[in-house]
Amino acid sequence: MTKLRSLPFAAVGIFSVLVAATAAGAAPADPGQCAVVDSQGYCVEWDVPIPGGPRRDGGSGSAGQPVCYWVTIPDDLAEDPTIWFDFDLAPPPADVSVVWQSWECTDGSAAFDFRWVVPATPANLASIARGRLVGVLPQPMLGSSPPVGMASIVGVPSFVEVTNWTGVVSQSECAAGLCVTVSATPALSFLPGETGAGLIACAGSGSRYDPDGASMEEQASAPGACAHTFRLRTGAEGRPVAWPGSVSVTWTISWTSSGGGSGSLPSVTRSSALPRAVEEVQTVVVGGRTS
Amino acid sequence: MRRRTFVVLVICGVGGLLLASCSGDDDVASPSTSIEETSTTERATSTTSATPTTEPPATEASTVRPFLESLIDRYDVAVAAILADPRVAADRDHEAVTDYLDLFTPSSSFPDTALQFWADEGSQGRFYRAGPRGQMYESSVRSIEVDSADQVTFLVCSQKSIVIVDEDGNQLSAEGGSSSGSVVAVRVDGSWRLRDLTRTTASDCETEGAQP
Repeated sequence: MTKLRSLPFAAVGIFSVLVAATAAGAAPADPGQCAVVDSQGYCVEWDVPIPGGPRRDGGSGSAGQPVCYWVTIPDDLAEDPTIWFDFDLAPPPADVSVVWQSWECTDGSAAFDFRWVVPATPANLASIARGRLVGVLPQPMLGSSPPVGMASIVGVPSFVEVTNWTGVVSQSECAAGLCVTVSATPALSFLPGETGAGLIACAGSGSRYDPDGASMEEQASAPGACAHTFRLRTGAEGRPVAWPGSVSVTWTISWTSSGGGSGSLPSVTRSSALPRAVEEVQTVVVGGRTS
Repeated sequence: MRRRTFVVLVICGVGGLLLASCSGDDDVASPSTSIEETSTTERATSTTSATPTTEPPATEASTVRPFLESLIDRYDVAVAAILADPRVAADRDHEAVTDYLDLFTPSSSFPDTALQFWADEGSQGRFYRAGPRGQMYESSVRSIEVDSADQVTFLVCSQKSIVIVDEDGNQLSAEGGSSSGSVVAVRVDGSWRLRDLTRTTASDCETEGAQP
């Protein structure tokens, strides 16, 4: 088994990456939302609300953590008669060409997890392309008015946009004359976090306040505007110091095959926290005019 | 099986009343009067029908290990039942799905992603069968880290042996080997439940995976 044991280490960085399923951990106190699982139901990619937030040791996918892939290996493992016993593997059908892969991580750790796949099926190709595509979907970077970290004013609209908006992202995978294209289409939503405020479906990449445009209120009430007017100040009457808002980009993923088939795949959501303190500005009415 | 036996022994050791129910001996409490007989019968009935509901807090790892092993055993069984026909994952009332969901904390949203993945697998005509090992997944608990009396994080090593087939039974893929995972379990209402499971990159399980 010396050859097999050395394969995982040799494969990393050398062979083509077919499935880019990033394995990620989660903080025990805040697991976030699992975005991708494997067949055993274990999470291989976490969506963590706060980029760079705490992660559980041993996982991967966040900054500084290893990334794991199904890596195609050039060896025909079927030539080793012990492979079936050693790894409890079922042999492929005699008349079918297969691709051998090994689960590898960029930290060089070996999982001793092997598989063969019949490449030319739309589902397999879609799975491969999806794995690669999910790995490049970005965590939303936020721009807002007032700026992130600055308090909003009661009764004055706040605007939110995603500054690294990519639009539709696609990846293709081909084998044996069959190509599958997987596309991820983003949709933005904004949850202000204020008591009683619901989820706001935003158009496109969100809204940026235009000081040269219509009034602030008109811009905030335009269809698809990514804006919210806070009604309740924070830090008073038992309220939090900031409303726990968040912005999410949900990627709806679909695939189409050159053979004519199409379908949907599990969606992925990337979220970023947008806590917002809200202050109240007192006005004094003097002689019928505010000052 | 030795692990399961130990679990049963521990469960049976909780309380004198449970000892009576675990013994399986109908004559364990011989009544001396008719009044006692009635009383004893009521007790026996209640203890026989009731499942022990209180599992111990994690005062130390060894205290909860049997319960975590039982939990992860039942998890593998529940997942295998769904994978046999992943289309059932779209039906939350299906017995295989309720068995799976029962293993998690009631408020957990973690199972949603897995159920969606399995349902998609089913809709794409991908069905899972056990490979030569005879069991899709066989997991064991390794190290246990006590986070608090009601929460633990433990390392699971799994031996995998699966074959993926299409609706006509044609083999599409096969996977085998070992993998590791980090599992968080939470004690809710006196019962240990899963909160989440994460695939890890650690090679802690490699010594089990590739032995000739």
